Amino acid sequence: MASPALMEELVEEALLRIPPDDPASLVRAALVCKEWRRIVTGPGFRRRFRELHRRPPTLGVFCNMDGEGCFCLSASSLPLPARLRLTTATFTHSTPATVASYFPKCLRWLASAPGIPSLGMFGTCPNRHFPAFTHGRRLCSVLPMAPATTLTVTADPSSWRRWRNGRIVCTSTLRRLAAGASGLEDGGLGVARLEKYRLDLWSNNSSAGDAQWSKIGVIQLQTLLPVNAAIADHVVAFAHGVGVFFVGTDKGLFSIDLKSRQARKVCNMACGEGGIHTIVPYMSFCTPALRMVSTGDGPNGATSGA
Amino acid sequence: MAAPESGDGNNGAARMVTLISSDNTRFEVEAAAASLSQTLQLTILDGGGGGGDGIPLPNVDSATLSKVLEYCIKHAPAAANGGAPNATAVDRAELERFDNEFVNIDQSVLYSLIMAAHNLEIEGLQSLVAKKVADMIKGKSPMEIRRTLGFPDPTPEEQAEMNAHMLEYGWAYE
Repeated sequence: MASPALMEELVEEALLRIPPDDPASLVRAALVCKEWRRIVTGPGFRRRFRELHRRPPTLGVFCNMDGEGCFCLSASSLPLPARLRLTTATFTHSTPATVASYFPKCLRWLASAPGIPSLGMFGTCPNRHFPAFTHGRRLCSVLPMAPATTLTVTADPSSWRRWRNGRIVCTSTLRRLAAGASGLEDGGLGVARLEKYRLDLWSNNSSAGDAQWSKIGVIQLQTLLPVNAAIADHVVAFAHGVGVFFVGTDKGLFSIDLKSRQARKVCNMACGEGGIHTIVPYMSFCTPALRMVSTGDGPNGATSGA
Repeated sequence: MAAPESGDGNNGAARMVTLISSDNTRFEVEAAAASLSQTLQLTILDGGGGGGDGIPLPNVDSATLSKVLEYCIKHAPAAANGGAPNATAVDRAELERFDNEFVNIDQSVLYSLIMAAHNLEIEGLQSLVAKKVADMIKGKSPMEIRRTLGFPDPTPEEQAEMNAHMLEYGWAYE
């Protein structure tokens, strides 16, 4: 006698409570029926999900290996499922639009919502070889397909030059995390710089002008990673908005939670020469095929703030 | 937001209100507990529900209402304190244990509870039952979710659509 048709708003309440670190459950739920799909892909759902959990879900990382790419879930410790293959050649010669189309179709979703640094909005360097992820005019991260000198193409080039040989990732949320303040985005740009086993966190105080960088924290990685794990060049990334770093080593790819300072192995594949050489974390998915069933208020609407 | 009842504790006994279920069963309950329902709170603030009147709840049967009130009575003291600040860890753990046990129920009862929590606008209970449904969804395939929640079998079209999506989202099925 169970009533099968739970009212839509009640379904939404339930779906909102799927934990953000279990995005696969959300994807599966979206496939249950048209109504659920419409709920999950609607912009209202995305907004409420962020409000409730104070963070968007981390879906996983996109790994770029020599000659092919694949996608693995951060929420699992499974070996790499080589679901998606693409060549680096296609990457380097792509326009932003085609680069975007090579990413799994399921990826944009929450990312393009206002206030969240976006993986969906692609910018490029003038020579087009280095796709960058931007949030408004801020550079959030760069696919390191080439020497990091390309990092000079940011909203504030002078700030970056001195780090051009380092391995860096940037984010607008570091400062918030380090300050321990909850829920308030102050808009400052953060940078993490990896030097040997030390991850230095820097923040740019945007209110004090362009070049006011200050160190806001240090994470010693050797205490978190397995003994003798060698950190791979360039395989460092930050999952925006969720305070998770990904660090690649020859013993596999690890995620490091900034708050809890806990490391977890994401996949077993070695990073560096011959292995994974680029990673891009994802927090979101868009569902182009499903957009048609959502009633015009689909993910498109949320990208307009770009 | 604070419960108004906390101010009139000087008259000894707590104020009681009567709720009447759809099948005409009368439940007498402290106003503070019933006020967890946003819907009832207004009526109670207006002085309703006392004496012989009772507040009729045509959408809630007696079995469900008694379950709802069990929740309200348990949670009323914490709510009167404005939630967590004064609560000790022990209190909170006890409430959590109660909540877990509370939703460990038959699915049809759970659905009735969901509807009642929704109609009566009991925020904590809405959240609790929604969480329970989320737990039922977690880790299941779309088909298993449909079965669990009592959906009818998918039409051939729906099935084809699901299969197609499953191919595209293979990673979600690892």
